[in-house]
Order: sequence, then structure tokens, then C-alpha cells
Amino acid sequence: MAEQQGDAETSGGSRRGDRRPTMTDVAQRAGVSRALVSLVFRDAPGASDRTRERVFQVAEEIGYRPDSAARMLASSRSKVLGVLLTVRNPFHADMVESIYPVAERRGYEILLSAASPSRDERKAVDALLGHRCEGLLLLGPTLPSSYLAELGRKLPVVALGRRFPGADVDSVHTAEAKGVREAITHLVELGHRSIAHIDGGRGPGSAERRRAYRAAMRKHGLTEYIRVLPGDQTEESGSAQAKVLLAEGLRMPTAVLAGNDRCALGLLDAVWREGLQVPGDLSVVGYDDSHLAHLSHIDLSTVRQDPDRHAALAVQCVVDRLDGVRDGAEEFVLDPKLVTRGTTGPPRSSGIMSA
Amino acid sequence: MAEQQRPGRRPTMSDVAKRAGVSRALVSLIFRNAPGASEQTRERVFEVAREIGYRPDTAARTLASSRTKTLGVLLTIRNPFHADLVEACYAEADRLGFDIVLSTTVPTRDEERAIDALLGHRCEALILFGPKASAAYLTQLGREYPVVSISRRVPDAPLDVVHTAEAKGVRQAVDYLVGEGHRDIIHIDGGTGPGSAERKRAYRAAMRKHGLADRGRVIPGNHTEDSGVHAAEVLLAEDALPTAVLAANDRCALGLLGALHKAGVKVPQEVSVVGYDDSRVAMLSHIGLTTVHQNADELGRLAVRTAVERTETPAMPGRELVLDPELRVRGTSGPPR
Repeated sequence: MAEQQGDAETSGGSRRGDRRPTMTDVAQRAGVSRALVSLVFRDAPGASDRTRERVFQVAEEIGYRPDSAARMLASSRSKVLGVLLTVRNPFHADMVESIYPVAERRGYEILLSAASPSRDERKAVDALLGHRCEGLLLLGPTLPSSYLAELGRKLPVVALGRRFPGADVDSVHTAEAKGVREAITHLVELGHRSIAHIDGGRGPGSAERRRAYRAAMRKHGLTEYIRVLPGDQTEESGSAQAKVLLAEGLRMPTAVLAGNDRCALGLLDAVWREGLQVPGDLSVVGYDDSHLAHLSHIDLSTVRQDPDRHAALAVQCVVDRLDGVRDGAEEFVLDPKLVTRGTTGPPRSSGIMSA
Repeated sequence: MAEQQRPGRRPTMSDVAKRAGVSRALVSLIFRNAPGASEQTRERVFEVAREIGYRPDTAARTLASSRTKTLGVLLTIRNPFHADLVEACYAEADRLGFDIVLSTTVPTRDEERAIDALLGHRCEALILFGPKASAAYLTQLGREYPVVSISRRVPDAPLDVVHTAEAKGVRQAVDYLVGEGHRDIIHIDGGTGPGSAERKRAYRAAMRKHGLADRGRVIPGNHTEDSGVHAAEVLLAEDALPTAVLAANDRCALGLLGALHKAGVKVPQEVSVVGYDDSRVAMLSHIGLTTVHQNADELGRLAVRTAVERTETPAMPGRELVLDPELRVRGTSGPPR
């Protein structure tokens, strides 16, 4: 393939016997960044005359000829994968941390683009396309299916945490229902009956989690205790629902399955501030197992979604498509795993503790 | 190279720039009709262009000018204050017609690699959020590219720094706590985190000023939640708790708060806690953290403006833009018991 030489360069480091000198060699020897060498050879502005001269001199000394750079430019491949994320989401931060090393091993660079209040997801995606990304990894996108379908016709796209049936995009997500079922079973086994769920609103996976919660409660014969509180996968929604629950006094549920970890954190914080004991007064289960969940003071029981496996599969999806290994959308469903930590225990009023 | 005037060749944008005594980037900006040049400069550039017969040809223009209208931002993806800054940067860049690409340090990827990636995407300028790289590296980077650092000062380096007057913020916090009646006020240090050294110095100075030098105490830490948890463990193991803690930053304060709540310690009745940053997390109603407000919107806005200016006039000496912090008193502080 045309970009073979380019590959050897980007991965850098590996010096072979009498291989052709690369841009990286020039950069190392001239004591400047590779990007700067590339810039000098492209005759782009941004390097001082002195640096230019040094770079050209070193290039001459080691016999570097810049036609590999030209080839890289000429080739249509950028070897860049774009990642769309929400910058405030700690689970996205975890996934980004996992995506980098996997992509680098496959020879791809990562470009991040965040959605924010002044910048919707479409705009963030447009920026990635503008930077010649060859494939896109979308973390928990809330974009409509029709848009995803259109995007999927342009380039390989994988959605993490959400399915887009009918669109030609790959999807990697957790078997939400299974995770929720495990969480409810765990709480029921501890002796809980009054288990509420704070909904994740339009957040990825929310609809599935809500359905699974209802089904699991019914399965355990707890239909009368089913209670879904509105929420939106943020800390604020957790603390807002805490206020609602705390106002109920003795009638409040003994356990809550939060829409995600962020929601669980808001709930926990508000409950702690009221002086209630967790899990004595209230058991709390999150969803994600983001890095915040394992902080020692939080020690949240939660449904683990494995960011490393999400990342590995997502990169694999896009790279396989780019390599022409596969056509047609695929869906990868990962098994979640309940992680029980300090925020779940038997309810105070249950007979389980009196053994 | 491009600067050499060969007879008979078509005049380039560089020729215009040289003759008009401005940067090539500025000429490009003017021909793109983008904002950022004075009326006077515009006129001079157009005049010179007419004189030497320069005609901007669209395709060539974009290729040759190498302007990508892209700013590169280095951040730590896990830092909520950085999230606030990113949002501010996006908004301002959008107003100025620039786009932003992000590159983060992660455990497997250090700052230099993250910065290389931004340069590889042909960013015209770099905005670094609290960089920890060596002064030598940052100085060299500033020589090669337009660079703006937020929070981290690099003396004598050819780059711009936008930061908060750390000492002032810390002084306000200590003055406030002393005013409430606190004497045992300790500080959790931010280690190598940006602004930490200044905050620590200011804390000691403020304690001295109040005649509390002997009550002063610094617990080592860093800018993460875990360091707050660790500090709580240290304090809880001792006979008596201090009545107030000035944390390294908000993340550290949140870790401390969580650990104190969990241990049944009442905040602020038993211990007052003050953070630093006023990241969006601190404002959440359930947390209500008293903290030193750094104006993320303004820091981000200024960083983007400064970076864009530097792409137009790369040879400027380093500038320092200092914003005033402001103590925000919320629910985690009050008079000692």
C-alpha cells in the first residue's frame, strides 16, 4: 500500500539496519519535532529561517529525501480516527483513555471533538470530518438515526453505548438488561423490596435500563414497588431526586438504582449531607463503573461497563471496515458485570441482619 | 525558500507580507476577509498587492497559506475545570472563525506526544491547559509555534500565559476564614499541579500576616480527589481536626468532603472546607463548595483571543494576562464551633 512508508514513520523508533532515513530521524537529529520538519518540507510558515536551515542541513547529512512526505500527502489516507465525546462525562474520559493505546497499536492517530452547550454533536462531527478522519467513534451519541445512517454512508462509523438499527453503522454496547437484572437481583437478595429507579432520560442506554428495571421488578414479584423517577444522567438529577425521596421519610425506598454513576454520585452526596447512612438507610447502585465510582470515599456499587473492551472493539470495527475486511453493520454486545462495593447492604428493617 | 525573490515568477503572499512589513498569516487573513486586522493594515496590504501584481487565486491560496484555522488544545480529560475551559474555548473560537481540536494526556501518552499530535493536525496555535512539561521544552515549543499556556507560568519563554492571580485568591480565602474566627487552618498542597507553588506561598504569607505562622500546616497532595481522601485519612487519624482546610483545588476538596461526610464529620460545623477553581462541579447545589472562583469563561476566551493574535503576529514577546480571582462563599464553610 502506498502509505507503507508513512506507517513506518508514524510508529517511529524502530531503527532498521540500513533503512531509508525518515522524517523522524531528521527531527531527532535536528532536535525539533517531527511536525516541524514536515512543516519545513511543506514550505509552510511557522518555522524560523534558522530552524529551516538546520533542518535542511540535517536532511542533507543523513540523506533524507522528502518524497515519502509527498507520498503521504498524495495518498488519500490520513490514518486518523475521530472520537466524538461529551467532555463532562467521566465514563467518556475512561473510554478515551482506553482508545488511545489501542488505536496507536493499529497505527492510527486519534482526534477528539467534544460536544458542548455552544457546539452540538453535528458540529463536533463536522469538525472531525474536516480534519480528514477516516473513521468515527461516537461515544454515547444522541444524534438521530437518520443522520447516523447518512454519516455511515460516508465513512466507517461505530457508535458506543447506543444502537442504530437500520443504519449502516457498527455498534458496541453493553447488554443493559443483563446489568440491570443483576443489580436488582443483588438488592432483592439483600432483602430490599422497595427499589426505585432514577431514569436516565434521553441518555444512551436509558430506555433499555428502564425497561429492564420494570421487567426485573416484575420477575421478583415486586410490581407494586416499581417506581421510576425522572432524571437525565447528571449529578444534578441525582441530588434533585434525593430531595424528593428524603421528603418521604419512612416511606422512602430502601434502595435506588441510579441512571448512571454521575446520577448516583449526586444522590449519594445529597443523602450523606442529610446525615443518612449508606447503605444502612439507603442502598445505592450506579451504572458505568467510571473512575469516580472507585474513589475510596465513594466506593460505589455499580454495573461495570468495561471501557477497555469497548475501546478495543470499537477501534477494531472501524479498522476492519477501513481494511475492507467486512461490509455491513455489526453489533457487539458486551456483558456487564455487577461490582458490589460499599453502597449496598441489607435494609435496616429487614430480617436478614438478625441471624 | 519561499522568501527568495526569483525574477519573473508570480508574486506570492509572502512577497506581499514582506513588502508590507506584516506576517504572511496576516496577509492571508486580509485576503480571506477575516476579522483581526486593522483598517489601516488592510489598506496597506491591498496597496502593496496592487503594486507588485499579486492576485489571490483561491485554490493556491488555501494550499499555500497553509492556514487551517484550527487551534490545538491540550487538556487532561478527567479534570472538570478543563471541561469548563474547553467549553469557553469552543465558544470563542467559533466567534473568531476558528475550530479547535483536542488532545489529551492519558496514562499511556505524555504531554509531548499529545502536543505532537496537535501539530500533526496542522494547528496554527496551541493552547495548553496547565501544562506540566519542562520549562525548556515549553520555551522551545514557544519558539517554533504560537503557544498560550493557561495557569502555568514559564518565565522568559516566548509564549503567552493566561492565569489567575493565585496569591490574591488564597489571601481572600484565608482572610475570610480568619474573619470567621478560624485559627487552625491547614492547606493541602497541589504538588506539581499548575498554580500550586504560588498557592502554597500565598497561604504561608497570609497565615504569617494574621500572626498564625505557628498554626500553619501543609499536607502534601495533588490535584485529584484521591489526594483529598488521603488528607482526610491523615487528619482523621489525629487527636484533633483543624477547623478549616484550604484544599489544593476543587477535585481535592471534593475528595476531602466525601471522606469527611463518610466519617460522620459535619461540614462546616466541625471543619470548613474551601476549594480552588470553582469548576462546575463546585456549583452543584448538593455540593455547595466554598471556593476561589477562577473565571473559566474569561480564561478560555482570553486564551483563544491571544492564540489567534499570536498566529497573526508570531514574533511578539511573551505576554502575561492575569485575571482576578474571587472567593465564592457557599455551604462548606462557616464559623468554627
